Amino acid sequence: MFKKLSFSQQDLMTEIGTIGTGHAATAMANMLGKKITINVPQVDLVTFDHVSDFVGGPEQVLACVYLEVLGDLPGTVLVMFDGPAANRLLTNLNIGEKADYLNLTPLQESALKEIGNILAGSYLSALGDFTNQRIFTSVPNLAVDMADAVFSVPMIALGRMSDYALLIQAKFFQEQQNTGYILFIPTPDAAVKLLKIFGVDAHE
Amino acid sequence: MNSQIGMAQYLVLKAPGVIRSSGLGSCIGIALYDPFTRVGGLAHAMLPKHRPGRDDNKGKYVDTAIDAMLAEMEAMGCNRQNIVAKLAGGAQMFPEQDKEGKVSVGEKNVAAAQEYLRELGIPIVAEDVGGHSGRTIELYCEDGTLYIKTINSETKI
Repeated sequence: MFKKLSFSQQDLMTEIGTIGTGHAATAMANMLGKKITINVPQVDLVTFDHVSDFVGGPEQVLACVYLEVLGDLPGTVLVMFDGPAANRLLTNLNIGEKADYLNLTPLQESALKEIGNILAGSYLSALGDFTNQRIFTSVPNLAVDMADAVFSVPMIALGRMSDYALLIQAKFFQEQQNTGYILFIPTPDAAVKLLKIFGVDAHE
Repeated sequence: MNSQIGMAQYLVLKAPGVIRSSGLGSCIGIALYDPFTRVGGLAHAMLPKHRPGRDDNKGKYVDTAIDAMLAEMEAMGCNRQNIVAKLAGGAQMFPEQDKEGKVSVGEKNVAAAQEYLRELGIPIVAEDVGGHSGRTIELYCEDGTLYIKTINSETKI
């Protein structure tokens, strides 16, 4: 499997991230009734000791919604919020009296899962339409913990196939304030399929 | 000397070295320690067993990480009969999803480490495994203490 991305491979993955994240941002903006912006997605092919660089390092505490991506382009989607962002999001949506990401109520937990589900769903339906592939997801699951601890789950699944993880990662902002991350982590097979769909050489 | 290892890595150091690994979730932290030479090794392994014929990273698997640490420790003058082990990690991070059949991947990693160490005759003198929280661990080669931190607790074994 690949150990390095060529320019055209990188470009394609960035484009895929842009399309998915754009749709997810629209879904978030509709949900909050506020303007949401995104950065240009960052595409990294990394060894497992670098998977949490983008979200603030291995010990960064995050509320993470994890969805398995099934169908024609298997992989994982992670929708992540750092503590303050999770608290703001729940407060803005008026869910519960006071939001404390380390002590979420069951209602707040299901709200975060549902938000993750909606964002991942818009991301993947855009990706499915764009590539003409059939994609669906598992039910959303939530953990509030250190970044590497939550990453361990998708990385273990990936570790059976590869020593590298392809991370298509983006940030959401509301008035310059970080409001969350969305990561798509295709399996090596799904990554090769994406390259083939767009006629990009998988073995450059 | 304070050194950090990440997922799928391992490191062996002499006292007064400290080896740290952050955010173990379903992965397993395996600490090996020889109190006589005060040499310690720490691995952050992801999967139970390597598959023969694949040129994978050694730190990724419980068995190959243990073998690699033992080889380095012996090369540094440790006697295998003096080496003891401590385990931490193997949590189930996502209650409904993180499992294959009835056993979580974390539990499988713990079982693999226990079994392989037993096979090698290396005693496990302490462990802090399972549960639903990520752990950050630090092995002090001075005395073999393993410090364990979660986002809401701290302990040492």
